[in-house]
Amino acid sequence: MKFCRLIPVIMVVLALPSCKDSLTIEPDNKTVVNGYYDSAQKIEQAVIGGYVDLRRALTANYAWLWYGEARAGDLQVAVDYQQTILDQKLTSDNRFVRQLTDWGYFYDVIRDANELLDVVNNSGFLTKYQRNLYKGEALALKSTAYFYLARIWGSIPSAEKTDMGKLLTNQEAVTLASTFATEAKGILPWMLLNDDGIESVAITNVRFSKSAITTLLAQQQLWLGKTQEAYTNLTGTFNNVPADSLSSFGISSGVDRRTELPAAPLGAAVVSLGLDRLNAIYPSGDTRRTSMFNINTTQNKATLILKDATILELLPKREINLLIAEAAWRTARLDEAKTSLTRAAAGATENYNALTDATFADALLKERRRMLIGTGQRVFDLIRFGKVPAFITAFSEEDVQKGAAYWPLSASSVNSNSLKQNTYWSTK
Amino acid sequence: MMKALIQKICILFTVIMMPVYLFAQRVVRGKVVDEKGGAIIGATVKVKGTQNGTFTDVSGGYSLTVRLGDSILCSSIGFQPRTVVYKTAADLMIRLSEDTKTLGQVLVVGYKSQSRQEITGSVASVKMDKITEAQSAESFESLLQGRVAGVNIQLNSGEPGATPNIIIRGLAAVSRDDASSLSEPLYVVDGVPIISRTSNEFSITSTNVLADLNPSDIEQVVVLKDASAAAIYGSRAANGVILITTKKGKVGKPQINFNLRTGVNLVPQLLDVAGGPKEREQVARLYQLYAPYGTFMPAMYTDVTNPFYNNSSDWQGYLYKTSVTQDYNSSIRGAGDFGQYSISLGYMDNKGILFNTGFKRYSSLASTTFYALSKKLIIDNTLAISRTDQGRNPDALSTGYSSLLPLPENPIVSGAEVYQPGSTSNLNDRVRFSSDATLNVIKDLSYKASLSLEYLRQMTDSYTMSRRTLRADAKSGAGENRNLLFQNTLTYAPRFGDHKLSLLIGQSAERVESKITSVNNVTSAPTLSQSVLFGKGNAIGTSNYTASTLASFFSRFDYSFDDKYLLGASIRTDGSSKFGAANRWGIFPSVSAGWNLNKEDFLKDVAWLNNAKIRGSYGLTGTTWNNDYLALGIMNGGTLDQYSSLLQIAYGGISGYTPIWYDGFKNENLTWVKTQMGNIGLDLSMFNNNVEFIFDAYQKYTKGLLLTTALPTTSGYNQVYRNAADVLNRGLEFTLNTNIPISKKFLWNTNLNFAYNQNRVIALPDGNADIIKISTSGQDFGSIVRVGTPLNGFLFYKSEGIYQAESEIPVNPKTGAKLLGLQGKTLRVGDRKFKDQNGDYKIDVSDRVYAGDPNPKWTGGWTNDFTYKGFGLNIVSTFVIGRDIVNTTLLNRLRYGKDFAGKASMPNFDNYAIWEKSGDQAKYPTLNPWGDASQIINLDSEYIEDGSYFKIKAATLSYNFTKSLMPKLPFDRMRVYCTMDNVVTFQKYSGPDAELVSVDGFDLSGGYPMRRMWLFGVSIGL
Repeated sequence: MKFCRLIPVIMVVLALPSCKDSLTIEPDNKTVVNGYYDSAQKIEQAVIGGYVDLRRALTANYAWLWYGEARAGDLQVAVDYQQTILDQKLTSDNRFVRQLTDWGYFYDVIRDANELLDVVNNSGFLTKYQRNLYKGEALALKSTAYFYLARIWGSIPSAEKTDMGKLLTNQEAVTLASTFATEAKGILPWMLLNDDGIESVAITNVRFSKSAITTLLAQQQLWLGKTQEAYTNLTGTFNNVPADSLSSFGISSGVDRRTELPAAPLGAAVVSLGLDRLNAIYPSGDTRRTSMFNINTTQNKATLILKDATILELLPKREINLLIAEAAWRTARLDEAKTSLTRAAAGATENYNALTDATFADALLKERRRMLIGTGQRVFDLIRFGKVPAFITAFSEEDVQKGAAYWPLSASSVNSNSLKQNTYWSTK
Repeated sequence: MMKALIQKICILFTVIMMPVYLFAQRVVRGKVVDEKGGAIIGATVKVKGTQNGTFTDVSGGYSLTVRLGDSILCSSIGFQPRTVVYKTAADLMIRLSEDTKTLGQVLVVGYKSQSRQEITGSVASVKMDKITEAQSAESFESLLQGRVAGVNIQLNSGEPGATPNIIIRGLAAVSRDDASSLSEPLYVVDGVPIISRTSNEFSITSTNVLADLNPSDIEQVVVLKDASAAAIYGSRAANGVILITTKKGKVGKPQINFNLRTGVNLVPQLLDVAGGPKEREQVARLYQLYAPYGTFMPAMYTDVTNPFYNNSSDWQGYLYKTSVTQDYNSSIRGAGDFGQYSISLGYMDNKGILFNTGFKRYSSLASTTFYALSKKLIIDNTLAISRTDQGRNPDALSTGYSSLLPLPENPIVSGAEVYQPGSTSNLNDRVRFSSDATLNVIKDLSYKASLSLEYLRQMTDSYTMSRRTLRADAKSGAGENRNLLFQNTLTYAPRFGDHKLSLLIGQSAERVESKITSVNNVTSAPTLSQSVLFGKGNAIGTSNYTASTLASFFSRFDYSFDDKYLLGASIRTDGSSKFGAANRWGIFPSVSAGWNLNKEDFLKDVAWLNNAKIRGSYGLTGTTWNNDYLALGIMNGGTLDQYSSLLQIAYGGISGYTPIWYDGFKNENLTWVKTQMGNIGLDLSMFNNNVEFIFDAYQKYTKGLLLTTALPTTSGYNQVYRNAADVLNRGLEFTLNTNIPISKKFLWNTNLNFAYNQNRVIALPDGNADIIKISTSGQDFGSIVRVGTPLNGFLFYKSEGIYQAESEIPVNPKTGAKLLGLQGKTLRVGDRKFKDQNGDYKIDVSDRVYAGDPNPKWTGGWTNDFTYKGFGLNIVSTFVIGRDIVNTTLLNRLRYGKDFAGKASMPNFDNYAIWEKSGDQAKYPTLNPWGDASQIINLDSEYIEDGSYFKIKAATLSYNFTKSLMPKLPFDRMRVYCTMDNVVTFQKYSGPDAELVSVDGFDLSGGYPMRRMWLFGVSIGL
C-alpha cells in the first residue's frame, strides 16, 4: 500500500468540513435582519414604523394633550384621571398617569430611526430621492422624539450608540435634536411624491417635509435661545417660497389595534374646552371663536372644529408666522415681529401694531395659546416664556426652579440605570 | 488384557519417539485458574508470535502444541493477561489475577486512551458491568448515583422515564424564571457526542432522552471533571464530560449472555391523609372556630343521609398500585484476528405505580470491527436503534381528592366526572450510526476519520375524554433532531528511550437540526377519534425549525519522562453558527502536569506504597445555549390575532406592518460562557493496591452566563441577552477504595466518596441587582440569585413563631397603628409572626431575607461489596448533607380558602402542631379559611427544612454458580440475584423523600413518589 496515495484523500477530507461557510446558518423559517431590507418598499414600511411609534407615544392616553394644553387646563379630556393631572399629582399610582410618566414609547421612535439610518446608509438600491427622504424622515423622527423628551422630562439619557445612557442636560438634549433637524432640513423635499412620482399633499401632510422640519428646528432654536439662528433659519427658508409648497405636519390617525389609541384624538366626545375658559382665551369678537370651535351652550363647552379628522396637527403652517414673529422680536426686529404677529393672528380683536418690546411677549404667548390649541405645545411655551406659575397655580416659582414643570420619571424609566427624580418630584 | 497390551504399545512408542519430541513440538496439557484456584473457562491460550492457540474447557484445562522455551500468552475477560515462558510442566498451570485494580487500567479520555498512571487531569471511571448485571434502571445516570465524587445525581421524580439531574462540581446556571436551569454535562458515546437533551422549545416529549441508551450495553463510564481533561471538548465541556464506552467483543470463544429479571414495584410512603371521619371532624372544627355567621358546611359533612357522608375513600390507595418491571437483555460478543463483533438486544417494561403510567424500552446495539491490510486499517461500525415509550396521564393526575368523594368505581357516581380518563404517549425513537476507519500510516502514526449520524424522533399523542359527554381533546406532535458529525484525527505517539510523546491533532464539523410540528384540536368535540380533527377553519398547529453548526480544530499533547514526570496540554478552537461573525470562534486551552512520586529514589523502598501521584491542571472550557438564533436578530413581523391575520396597522395611507419591531435585540457581542477551572489532586495506591485514595481540590469560575438584562427604556428595547452572570464553585473531593481480603474466601470491597462544594454568585447584570425569580405564570416563588450568596437561595419572610396574645403585635409608637400583615392584613392572635426587618410596621416584600441555600454542600456515596464463596452482597448508598429544602407540599395542604370543604384530602391535623387558641405551642398558624389574607403563605421560613439525607439506594444479594462450584451446570456461568431498590432513606425532613426536590429546593413529592422495587433476576453466560 502506498500511503502517499492517500495524502490527497486525507487533505480533501480535512478541507471539506473546515469550510467557513458551514458556520453561517440562514434560518429557513425565520427572517433575520441581515439581508432583509432589499427593497425600497421594505424600507418605507420601516419609516412608517417610526411614525406609528411616534403616534403611539403622542396619542396613547391623549399623552400630547396631557403634556400640553390639558395639563394647563386649557382643554378638557374626559377621562377619569383628569383631575389627578390637573392637581399636578403626577406621581399618582393611577396606571394611566403612570403610563404617561413613562418615556419608553419616545425612545422606541429613536430606536426605529437609528435602525433606519443604518439600513438607509447600507442600501445601494435606493434612488437619490428615496435615500434623502428616508434618511431625512429618520433624522426628523429622532429629532422630534428627543425634543419631546427634553421638553417633557427636562434632562434625559441619550440613546445614541456613541454615548448610550449618558444623561444629557436639557440644553444638550435639544442641541442634539437640533443637529438631527438641521441635517434633515438639508435633504427633505418640500413636497413628497406618491408611488406614481406625483407630488402628494396627503402624504406630505402626515410625513416630514422641509416646512415641517424647518418649523421644528426653529422651535428648537428658540428653546435653546439661539434666536439669531432661528431667525436666519426661518426667513432663509420660508421667504419667497410659493404658498403651495408649504405644508403642515400632523400625525395620521390611521389604523392601529395594538394599543388603546384614540381613533379620533381631538374628537368632540372626549376633548373640549369649557365656555369660561373659551371666553377667557378668545374674547368676544375674536373670529376664531367660531372658526375653530363649535360652541355648545347647553353643555357649557366648546369642541374643536376639525378640518381633517384623520390628521392630528403638530406643526401647522399657521405657526410659521408666529415663529418668525418671535425670532424677529427676540433679535430686536420689533417692527418685523409685529407685522408677522399681526399676519399670524388673523381674527384677533387686538391691535398688535401698538406693541412694545415689553408687551410683545405676553401678546405672542396669548396668540400662540389661541392659534396652536390642540397641538400640545402650551406647557412647553409656558416653560419657555417662564410663565408656569402664572398659569399653573399649583406650582410656585420655587417649585418650577426645582423642576416641577417637567414630568416625574416612571419606575420603569428609573429602573436599571442611575437616573433620579428631579428635586421637586423626588419629594413627592 | 487388551488394555494392558495397548498401554505397553504406547510406552514402547513413546520411548521410540522420545528423542524426536525432545527437539520438536509436542502437545502439552495445562490449566488456567484464578487467584483462588478456580478454573477459568474460555480463556485464550496462545503461543506468542504464532497462530497456534486454543481455549480452556469447562475445567479450565487446555492442550496446546508447544516447544520448550516458547512464550505462552494467556488472556481472559476480567483478568489481567499474562505471558509465561514454558520451561517446566509447572509453567503450564497459569494463574491469572483479576483485573479489578484501577491502577494500570486504561481509560478512554478525550479522543484517545490513557493509562490511569499517565493521566494528569481529574478523571473518574465507573465499570458498569457489575452494576448493570444486578440492578435495573431506565437510564445509566441513576446507576451512577453515589459512585463518583463530585458528581451529584438527583432523581427528583419517581415517574418512569423521568430525567435525573446531573450536576458535576456545582451548579453554574442562572435563570430568571422557574425553569430550573441546569449545568448539563456533555455526553459522548464511543467518541461521538450525542443528543442528550433537546432544548425546551424543541422538546416535545417529557421522557429522559438518555433513557434510550440501555445501561446493560455500557462497559465503562468515564467522567472528565476538570478543565484539563475536558478542554479538548471545548465549547461544550464546561459542565464536565461523560464518556460512555459500550461493550465490545473480546478475544476468546463467543460470549453469549442473558440477563432476565422481573421486579415488583411497591408503593412507598405516601402523603398523610386524615380519612373520612377525621376529615369530617376537622372540617366541622374549622367551621366551628372560624366560620362567619350564616356560613354552613356542605351537606355531605352534616347530613347523615347524604350518600357521601360515610365515605372514606383512599384515593392514593386507588390510584397507586403495586406494579411490575420486566427487564430482559441478551448479547453475543466475540473477537478474533478478523476484528470483533458485539450484538445486544434489550427490552424493558416498567409499569409505574401511579395509574396509567409506565416506561418501555426496546433497544439494540450492533458493533463490529474489521481489520484489513494486516491490521494497518481498522474499521469500526456501530448501529444503535432504540425506542422508548413513556405513558402518562394527560394532566397531572390528582391523588389528593377529599376522602368523602367516592372513588370512580363506586356505583353511586358511575359515569360521573371524577377525573378525566385519557392518556399520553411519549415515544422517542433514536437511530445512531457511526463508522470510523483508523489507518496506521507508519509506525506510531495513525489517522482516524469518523462519520456519525444520529436521528432522534420524538412523538407525543395525548387524548383526554370526558366520561359524561364523550367530548374529547386530542393533541399530537412530532419532533425530529438530526445530528451529523464528521471527525478527523491524526495521532503521533513515539517513544524515545524514557521519553514518551503523544501528539494529536484533529478537526470536526457538526450540524444539529431540530424540527417540531404539533397540532391540537380547538375545542372538545364529541368524537371517538383519537386523531386530531378540526372543524372547518379551525386548524391550530405550530411548527418550528432550528439548526446550528459547530466546526472545531483541536490538539492535545502528552509527554512523560520515565513515567515519572508527566506533562499534558490541549487546545481546542470551536466556531459556532450561534454567534455573530465577530465572536464566532472561541479558544479553549488547558495545561496539566503530574509527578509519579513513587518512582523517585527516596520512595523506592517504601514497600507499602504502590503508587503516588501529584497532579495539577488549569484550563478554560465553554458552554453555549439552546437558542440557535439569538445572536442573529430574528425579526418579528407583528402579532397575529385570533383570526390568524396580522394586526392591521396603517399610517398615512400606507398599510402594513413594520418588521423593525423584532423580538428582543440583536446582540452581536454574545459569546461563549467561559469556565476557568484549576484543579490539584493526589492519587495514592497502597498495600498491594488494596487501598486507593484520591483527593482533588478545584475552583471553577464560570463567566458570562447568558441572562436577559433589563435595558433602560432609552434603548427602545425591554431587555437583551447578555453574557452577564458569573458563578464560582469551589470544592474538595475525596475517594477511598479499599479491597480487604478478610479471609481467603471472604472479600470486602468498599468505595467511599464524598465531595464538598461551595457555590457563590460573583456578578450579576444591572449593577449586581438581585434576581428574584418569577415563574412563567408570574408567581414569585421565593428564589433569589444574589451576589455573594449561593445560587437560588430562598428569599423568605423570617418566621418568629405565632402571635399568642394581642399585646405581642407591635404598635408603631409614632402613629399608634398596629403592625400590618402581608397584603395589608390586620394581624390577629394565632397569625404567623414575621419579623419586620426594616421596622416600618408593615410586613411587605422588603422584609424578606435570605433564609436558606438549596445547593447541597456535601454529596457522596458509599458502596460496599461483600463476597463469600459464591455469595455476594452489594450495598449502594448515597448521601447529601447541608442542604435546605422547602416542604412545599405540606404548605399547600395546610392552606385553606373559604371554599375548602370537600375539595382536597386533608392531612391529619393531630400530626401537626397547629394553633387554635392562645397558649398553644404551635408550629403552624391558625388555619382560618375565612381570614382576610391567606394565613399560610408560600414564603414562610418555617417551611424551610434540613434536606440532608442518607439513602440506601440498592442492596443486592447474589449467588454465582460456576463450573468449579457446580460441575453439572449447563452454562459457563450463572448468577441469581435479588435486589432491593430504594431501600431506606434516613432524613430529618418531614416530607416523604428529601431527594424528590427540584434543583431549586422545592418539594416535588406531590408529583410522583419513588417506588421501592424488589428485583429478582438471573444472569447466564453461555
